[in-house]
Amino acid sequence: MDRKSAQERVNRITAFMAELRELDREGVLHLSEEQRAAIEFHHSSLATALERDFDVDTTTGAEKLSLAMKIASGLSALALSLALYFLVEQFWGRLPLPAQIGILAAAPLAAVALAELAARRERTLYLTSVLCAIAIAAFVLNLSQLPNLLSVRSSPISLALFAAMSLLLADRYRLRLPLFFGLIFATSFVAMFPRWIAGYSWQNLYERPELLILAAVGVGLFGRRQKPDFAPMYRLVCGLALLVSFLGLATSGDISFLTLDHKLLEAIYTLAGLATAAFGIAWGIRRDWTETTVLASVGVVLLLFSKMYDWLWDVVPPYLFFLLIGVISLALIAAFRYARQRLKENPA
Amino acid sequence: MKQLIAIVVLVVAANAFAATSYWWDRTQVRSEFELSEEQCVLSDITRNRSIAMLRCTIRHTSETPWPKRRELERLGYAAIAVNLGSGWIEDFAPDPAFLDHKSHFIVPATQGNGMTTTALPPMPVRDPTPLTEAPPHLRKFRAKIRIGRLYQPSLVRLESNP
Repeated sequence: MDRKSAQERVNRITAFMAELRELDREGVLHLSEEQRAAIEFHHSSLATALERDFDVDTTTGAEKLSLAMKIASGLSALALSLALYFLVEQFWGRLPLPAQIGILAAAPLAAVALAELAARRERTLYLTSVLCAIAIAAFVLNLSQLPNLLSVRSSPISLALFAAMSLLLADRYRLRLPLFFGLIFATSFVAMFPRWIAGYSWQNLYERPELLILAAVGVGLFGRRQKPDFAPMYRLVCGLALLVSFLGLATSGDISFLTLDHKLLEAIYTLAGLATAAFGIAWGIRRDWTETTVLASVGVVLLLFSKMYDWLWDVVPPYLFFLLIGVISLALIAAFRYARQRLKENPA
Repeated sequence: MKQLIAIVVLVVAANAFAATSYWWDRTQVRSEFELSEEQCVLSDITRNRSIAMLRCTIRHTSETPWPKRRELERLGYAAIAVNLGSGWIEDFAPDPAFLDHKSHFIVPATQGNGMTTTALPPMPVRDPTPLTEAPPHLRKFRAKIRIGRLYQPSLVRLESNP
């Protein structure tokens, strides 16, 4: 059992006890004192054991505080990474070159060492997560400064190195934040590397985004083999990459690899994007993948609205444009409501 | 633990590769262009800027084939050697403050090459020594710069600036 499963169990226990009290109050079910005491004793022992082993939240207040801690962790990771960057910016010029290289190389290693220390002392891994994010940021800073300091040619290989470090950290501590960064870097690398090999400019991810679609499919396929705690992040990154690719291709056909007419390409990719999003919604509902369903729904809305802007903004007056958007939004709500009703009728 | 070992290897290898590459390039440039140690130090500072300029231009000519890109980067070194060896291009001479702040590169705005760098105030000239004729060991690079003319307008500008 992992921490997520333990927290789900505790949540189920809390809901069950609340519902039991409600049933008792409404006169539907009356348990004897012995039965009630036995259930309460069992649940109490179980919750205590889970709290001891996994540091789960057993009350609503504790759960809210945990959420606040997660937000604070994210903000502190961001702030500390920025502090590191600006510290380097301010004092950098005064240091000799070997010292600069030494500091740049030592920073990510020091952050990883601190993360390891933190992981051995805490069960929630909030601080470890922050330190991992700092380690990744320090490594990015390290490799992004080397071209300036040592005239190293920048290349997408640095993205592969960032991905490797992030994924190693994610695997080491089973953390999803480094996993997210790692998958983003890996997806970008897969999309950019062939362009670089072919001699094209590789920095602009938004040119020829078909490669990003291939990378997204690869991430999605890898995600199928992952454990339940990591699989949603693979699907999230896969969905994000698909969304970005289809949005780009549907609105600017000239960035495609294909040499067909731009307008035709935009129409093709709009339809392909909508079909993919519809498939994502259906598949997400079937498999109970919340992130897939939400992302695919957002994709449908963004694709439709961006195409409407392309087609209609210069043709119809603004009031009509927004009226049409409102009507389409209502139609989408009706479609989602219909799907929800069907789901209630046929839960399987 | 194997993940931690892999991370250490990754970070050390990336930095070691960059440092080795730097040392190799520096040795090559110094011997090929017959630069003194002092000139080579200046080259370390300025060649970054030149390569950055080359990259800017290459980005605008994304159809440039791969071997040509390598040649262009090599020409970046040649351009600096010409600059440092001859003193042709006064506005390429590094300003003294520049020596103390290696990470803050000042890119002079260059016309006609599609770059979008912000125009900066003129840089102070450090010991400009205009040369009437390029030294013999630099002449061959003139030819290479001409090869780069089609791809590298900033090099053309370097050459045409007396």
